[in-house]
Amino acid sequence: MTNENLATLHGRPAAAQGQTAAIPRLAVRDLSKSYGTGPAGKEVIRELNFEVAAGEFVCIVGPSGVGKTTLLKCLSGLLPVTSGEALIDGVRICEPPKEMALVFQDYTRSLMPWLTVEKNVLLPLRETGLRRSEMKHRLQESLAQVGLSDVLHKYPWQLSGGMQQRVAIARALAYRPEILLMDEPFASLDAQTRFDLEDLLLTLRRELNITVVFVTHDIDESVYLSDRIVVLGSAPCRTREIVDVPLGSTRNQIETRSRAEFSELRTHILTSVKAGALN
Amino acid sequence: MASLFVEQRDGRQALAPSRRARERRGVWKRARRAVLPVLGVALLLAAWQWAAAGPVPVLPLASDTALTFLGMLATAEFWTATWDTLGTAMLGFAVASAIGIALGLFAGLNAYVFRASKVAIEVAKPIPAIVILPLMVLQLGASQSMVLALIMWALIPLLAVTTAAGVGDVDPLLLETAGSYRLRHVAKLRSVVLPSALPFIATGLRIGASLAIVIAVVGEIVGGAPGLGRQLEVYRQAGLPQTVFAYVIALGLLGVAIYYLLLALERRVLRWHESYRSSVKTGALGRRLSAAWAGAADRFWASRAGIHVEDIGVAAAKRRTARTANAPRKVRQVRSSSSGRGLVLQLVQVGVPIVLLVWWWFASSTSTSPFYPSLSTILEHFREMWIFDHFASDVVPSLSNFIGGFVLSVVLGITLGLVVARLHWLDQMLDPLITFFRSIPAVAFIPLLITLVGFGPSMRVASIVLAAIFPVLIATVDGVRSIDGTLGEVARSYRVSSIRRLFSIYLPAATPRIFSGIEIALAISLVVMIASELIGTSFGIGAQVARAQTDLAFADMWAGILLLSLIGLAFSIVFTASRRTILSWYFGARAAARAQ
Repeated sequence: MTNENLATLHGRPAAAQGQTAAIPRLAVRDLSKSYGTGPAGKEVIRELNFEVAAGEFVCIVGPSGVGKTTLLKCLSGLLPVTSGEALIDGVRICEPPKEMALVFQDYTRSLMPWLTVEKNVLLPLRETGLRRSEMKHRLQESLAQVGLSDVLHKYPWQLSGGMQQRVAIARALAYRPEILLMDEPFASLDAQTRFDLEDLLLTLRRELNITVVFVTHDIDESVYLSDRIVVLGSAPCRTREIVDVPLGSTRNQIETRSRAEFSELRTHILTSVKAGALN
Repeated sequence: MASLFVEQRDGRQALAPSRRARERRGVWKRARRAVLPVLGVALLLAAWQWAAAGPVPVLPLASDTALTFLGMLATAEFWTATWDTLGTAMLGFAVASAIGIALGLFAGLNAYVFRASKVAIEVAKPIPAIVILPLMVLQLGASQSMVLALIMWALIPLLAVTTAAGVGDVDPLLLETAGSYRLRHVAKLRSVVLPSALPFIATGLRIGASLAIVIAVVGEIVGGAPGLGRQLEVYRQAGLPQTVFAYVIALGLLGVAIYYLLLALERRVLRWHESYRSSVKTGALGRRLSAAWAGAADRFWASRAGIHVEDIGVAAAKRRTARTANAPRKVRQVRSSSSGRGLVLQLVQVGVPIVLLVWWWFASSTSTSPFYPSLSTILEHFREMWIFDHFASDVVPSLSNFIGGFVLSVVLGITLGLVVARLHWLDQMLDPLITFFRSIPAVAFIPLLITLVGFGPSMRVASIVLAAIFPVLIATVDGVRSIDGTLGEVARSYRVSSIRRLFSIYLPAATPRIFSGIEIALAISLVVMIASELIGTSFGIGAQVARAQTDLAFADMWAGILLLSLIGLAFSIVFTASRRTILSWYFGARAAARAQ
């Protein structure tokens, strides 16, 4: 048995017992991921480390093709890690945890085209053992939260791109996640829709007090949305730096974006990402 | 709360595999890929040998059959028959291709010709060549020219339709570009229209070549023309099951060889085309090829039905949909609705078939030829025979065999397809067997099953199932495989159970492909139903047609042909309507994607 295996065997219970009070909501410890084995294998992520506290909004930015999506899939338990670990409340993530929901970038591919909006939202709830009335309640509540109460019986492809992504968000909200993972959810939307959805997301997060991990390649978006930004360096992907974003809890598209701190942060992170891409 | 989770998850906690373990798994994977197909064939042969030696004594021993097969390869008789089959098929294919492509270009470029032939082709499409076989045997005897006529009947509309669809698929931007450089008609045709239509034509040619062999075998088994099919029937009647099996195996192997040869040719000729440039991400080699086959079949059947289904290869399809699929068609619609020309086109589309029917009525009314009775006589006989005398005794049993066999092959095909698609090892194991069995011409199963179970309804249903199950099975596997990975990930991330994933994600996602498979299965079921009745049985619509043929009761024979045509047409209409209803989400989503 290799050292790695021993570490994962004995390391986790020790951490769980030792420091119960300081356990972060979400933690990434020495996480590495490669596709394939041997010389043909491709190392995508190397020994990545960061933490997310409960209620925090963390953005992950980095050059394109650096493995952000792979990282999110490891975090959500969809992909097995090669070594190291991702932890939720100090517990290793081996399969999709039930307190987590994932919103994908491509809304046209993440909503089932053969199901109406109603059935798309209800699909994840069908096996949670909820009563029918509770499911109905959550459906209506979550669609109201994203401002789409009147499209229940439409098919996703009958809606605009922004509305489809709202449906995907409503599906996540109806699932009542404590942690929301989002993979460039607004990347294929036009600028105005994106601003609206960014504000919607900030509102929802404040009201529901959920933890958000948000992957994006748009640096302005990451500064506008987050409490903290994890900057990733180029392939294989590693943590380059972690930047706090002290812009307060209420933000405004016009005001926040015109503040001096905003542009300083923006410049700082842009420089960091560019330097990371060169290495 | 947190501690509870610790306990819950501890049980499921998996160790990160070490490098060595992963390498070991890679070796194991490669070994499995090499061993499983061989194992599948070996298991089938072993099961065959065991069954023949014990519980199923009518089955010849696998070992005996293998020896007979090898012995057969050494006979001149076998090679003559092979040459007869191949030669006739190739000749028919060549002539039909030339005529069909010319007609297709003509129809594709001229809106009037397109509209005038549309209804005739829509009506002729579900009427298989075997329906006119009794007529051709009567006219031309059990000869090569009879088989050639059957091949023409099937292949000319096929190639005309695929060519016309290819011409309709030409990007209007390319035509405008050519126009801006002042290219004239012939140059435009040669340098823009033909190359753009080539993928469609190539698909038509490939399906046509396989179809020519299948039809040749039908003409030989049912019509008695010289070739491998007749040998099969001769040895069946002589009571030599090993030789029957050996000939069926030879036909299957021939089919596999021709299939791969044509596919390789098409890839070579069309390597510039985008659907060939992208590699389809699938499992075993055969599967990858059969995916391309299913894609091509989809495209052909879809173009015949006037709708667009997935192109060859999933990736290619995604890239292509928006651009090529319907742009020229839209232009045609706009043009036709904009002026009086549209009305004229409508009139042509409806008028030409009516004129033809009226012409048939009057031209045949004075007919004295025994072969071609007047239309009114045919209709009279039709009413007497099918609505009164033979409805319960022949029509009902025929239809129940047909529907039973068809439904059974759809249900079994989808079920097996779902299992095979989800179990990789089973897929690898069955891959060569599936490729082999679906290459056996559908009608060849009939003599084989007659030697095993005789002439009863069970033989007919079993022949239909054996022939029609493979298109459904392959379409299901491809449909499930081609599902967008994101949908599966969505379901997994929301912890949707695997059973629910299968039925609410994979199955619905596969339905467009499955329907293409079902459409082919429907056509095959009808052919096998008719063939199984034409080969010496006493009841059924086909048997009545065969009786009328030997009794020289020509009006009865025509009435039978009419009934079989109507059955084909009716089922095709029901099928198209149910596809439209069940797949309304699919057509809606595609229209939305195109509009963007």
